[in-house]
Amino acid sequence: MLKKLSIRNAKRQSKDYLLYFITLTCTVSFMYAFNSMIFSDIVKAFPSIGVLPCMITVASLLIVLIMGWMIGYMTKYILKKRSRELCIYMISGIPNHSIGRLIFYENSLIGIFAFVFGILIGTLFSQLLETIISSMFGMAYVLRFRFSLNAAVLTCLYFGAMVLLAIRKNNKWISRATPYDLLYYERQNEKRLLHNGVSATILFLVCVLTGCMGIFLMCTEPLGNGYDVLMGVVCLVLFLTGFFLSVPDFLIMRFGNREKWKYEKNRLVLFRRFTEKIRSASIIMGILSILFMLSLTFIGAGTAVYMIAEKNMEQSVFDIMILHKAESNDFSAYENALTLSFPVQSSYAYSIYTDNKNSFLTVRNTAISSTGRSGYMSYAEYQHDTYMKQSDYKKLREILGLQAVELNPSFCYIHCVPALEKPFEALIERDKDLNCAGYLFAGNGIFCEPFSQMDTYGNGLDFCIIVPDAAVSQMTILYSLLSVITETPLDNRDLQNIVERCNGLSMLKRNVGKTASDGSGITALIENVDYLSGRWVDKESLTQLYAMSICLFYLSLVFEITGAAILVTQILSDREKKRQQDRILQQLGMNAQDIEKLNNCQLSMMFLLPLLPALIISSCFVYISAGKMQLSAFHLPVFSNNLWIFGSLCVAFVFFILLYGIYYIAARISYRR
Amino acid sequence: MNRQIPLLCVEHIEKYYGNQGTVTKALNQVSFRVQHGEFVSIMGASGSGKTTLLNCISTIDTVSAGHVFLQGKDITAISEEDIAIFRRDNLGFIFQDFNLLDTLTLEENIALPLTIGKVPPKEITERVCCIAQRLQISDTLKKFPFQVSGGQKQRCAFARALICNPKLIMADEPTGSLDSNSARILLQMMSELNKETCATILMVTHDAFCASYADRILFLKDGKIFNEILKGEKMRDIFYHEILDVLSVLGGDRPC
Repeated sequence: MLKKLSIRNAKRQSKDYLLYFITLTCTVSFMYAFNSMIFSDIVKAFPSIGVLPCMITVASLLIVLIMGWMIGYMTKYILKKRSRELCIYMISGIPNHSIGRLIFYENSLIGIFAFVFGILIGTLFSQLLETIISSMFGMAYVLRFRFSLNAAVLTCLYFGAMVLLAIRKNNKWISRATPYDLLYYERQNEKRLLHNGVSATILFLVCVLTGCMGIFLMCTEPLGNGYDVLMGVVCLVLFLTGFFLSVPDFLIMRFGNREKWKYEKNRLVLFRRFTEKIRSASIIMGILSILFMLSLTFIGAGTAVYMIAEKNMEQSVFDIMILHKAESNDFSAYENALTLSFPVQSSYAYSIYTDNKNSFLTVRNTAISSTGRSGYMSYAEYQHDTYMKQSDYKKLREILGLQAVELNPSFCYIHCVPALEKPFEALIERDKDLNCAGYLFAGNGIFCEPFSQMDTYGNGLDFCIIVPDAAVSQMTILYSLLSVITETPLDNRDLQNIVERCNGLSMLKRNVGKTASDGSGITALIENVDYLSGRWVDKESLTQLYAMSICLFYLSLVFEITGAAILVTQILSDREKKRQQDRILQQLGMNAQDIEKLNNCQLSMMFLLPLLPALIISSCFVYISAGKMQLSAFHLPVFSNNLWIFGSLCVAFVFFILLYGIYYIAARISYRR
Repeated sequence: MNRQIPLLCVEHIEKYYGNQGTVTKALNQVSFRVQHGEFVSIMGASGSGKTTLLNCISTIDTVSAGHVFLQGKDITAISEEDIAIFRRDNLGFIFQDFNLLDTLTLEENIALPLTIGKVPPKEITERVCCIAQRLQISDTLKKFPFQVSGGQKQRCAFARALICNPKLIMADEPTGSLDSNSARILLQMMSELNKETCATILMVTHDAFCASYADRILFLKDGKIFNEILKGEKMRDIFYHEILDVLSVLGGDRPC
């Protein structure tokens, strides 16, 4: 009998709480898709993203906690709405433990369906994710449908933990409930934490002040030692907590007694319904706002991380660079090996020179110092200015497909990163006699296209002086390079193949260095070893950033759907009350269009309210974190202004709104029914 | 106001419920008239069609046949678009379960029909104060429905029904949720306002005591008008006993 009743109840509930069911299904599908990445061959093919499975596991555990709470909250919320029905079971003689078992069967049934559908959808979603990861790492992806039993088992464990946690909590509540509690549960008003309008107003003002102070501390960092950011975070969390407790009473204090305002344009019902709803659900509104804030922050920060990684890649223009310390040697063996491995579009071997001058290096170091970073150059190779022959430069421009330039063999030119263009212009303008081996610098002779200069052991570091070929006769060769453009993207396996085929070639590890023999600094280069670098090797070193970006996206997705599902259930559970109010308004002479307008307006406000503070705070967090990440990722600003941060904020917001919009439309359709 | 034309004219209305398999005839050829300023009560046993009749007159429900005229206007022919405006301008409602909006204070509940009618805020405040004073709920205006007694709630509902000066006030079991004292106060007020302002009231009730405040009573049985009695110059307690006599003949709910 109980099982029959459970099946019927589960069926009925799935209609009433369809969005909740969909959210559970989506969560399972996301979990499965991301878990399948842990066991994916594609991920295994990239040893450098070994951190991704760990990150996914940590993110999944965080999601288990958040979703466990969400399922618990939603189940309890649904049970409370069904309190009268439970009371009827109780007074019909069904003992509490049997009712608990009934609820357990119901939830298990809903959970099993959500799990099965989730796994099915997750299988499709995992293919999409593999495609994204493959394209991120420049790997050709062949669509194939593969079911990962390991991922399904792991997802089952996570999901089971979430559901059991929630059911156990609710069973406790049912076992203690009395028929009286259940019968009058719906009549009980939610507990108000603030009973006095004045205290609410004071709290509201304090909250706004705290929020402003938090934003100020985070954006300006007046102390500059990290404590200000910490204090800012604390202030913003306090702001969110207090905001929803105080805002309804503040609004009532502010507008409730202004007859002129409230009696106009059908504001009265809207205003009162809105304040009543947020007052009765102030704590949950605060939690929703925190979930949305985290979601927006994660996706904003994830986008910023992705943009930084892409910018880094953009600066590295050669697919392969083979580096030989000191004088150029014969790269033909490498060229042959490369041609055998994959189609090579073009390649060119040349050298980077140096002398004892450092006029441009000083300007570069000063420019770096002015951005708050350390201008100290620890690499032995970059203690002086670096040079390149005009003929080499012309050839490199040609193979890169850059616009052809006329270089006067009587003048010197500069190719540098955009951030150094102005300081170098100023230097040349200031010192008219500045020359290199007797060659003066050409006016308008600074080029700033991406040229593999952002990192060490490229075409100079941040800049390279282009000198007439004859000028290098007195200079020392720093290192020689073979720069290659390939026709297809390369992945980790290709790079490993190259290293295996070429004796004496190893991957360039910039962060592993030793003190140079002359004591002028550190160097990553060893005698008699050639190094492989370039765009795809650099990408390998950025995989952790990409992995972080994927995990942030995963967390953001789950947090958003969790919050949106709670919000929609909160709103739709009041449909009966809303219908009754609509009927009264209709009897009082309000036309159907006005009633619908009123309902839509209220729905929109309910969706907007938790989002607005979340948007402000997350914008602040993303702005700060993106700025910090840029500082640590690049030694010179590579973005000309902060518009890229706004870009990542916009991407985050658009993505968020697209998903949020689906919930809004679904709620609107259900609300109208 | 032309007193020759009845305010309300119900002509041969019929109402069927159900589908082709099972049809229930809730109202069967019901016809009657209500004059301006009259206080008419409709009585009958449960299921006799009282509330259905009231719903058809108040445009909450539609008739299956027949016509209802309010000041000569056939309200059964009013379009869906115009029905809300018609209700707002012509009808006032009082229900057994008050039908107040829980989220509004009593003051705001009373003001609601005026805000829907786009009456200037200043005038709304004045009219609400005036009617609240008349119905002795001035002290509770700032309270929410859950903070006041049933009697105060129903007086608030009555004030809301009166505030737009409707042509016809319709009350469906207005004392059904009240204790005897609150019911008496409310009925006294309804009766006084009917006399002072010539407000026309059509009240559905199954309570003889409640009906005894009316000028005329229509008795419904199985969807038909069974009888009609007039109070005339009689004292209320005599009229009350007369009602009980009719009810005993009617054979429906017999009040204690």
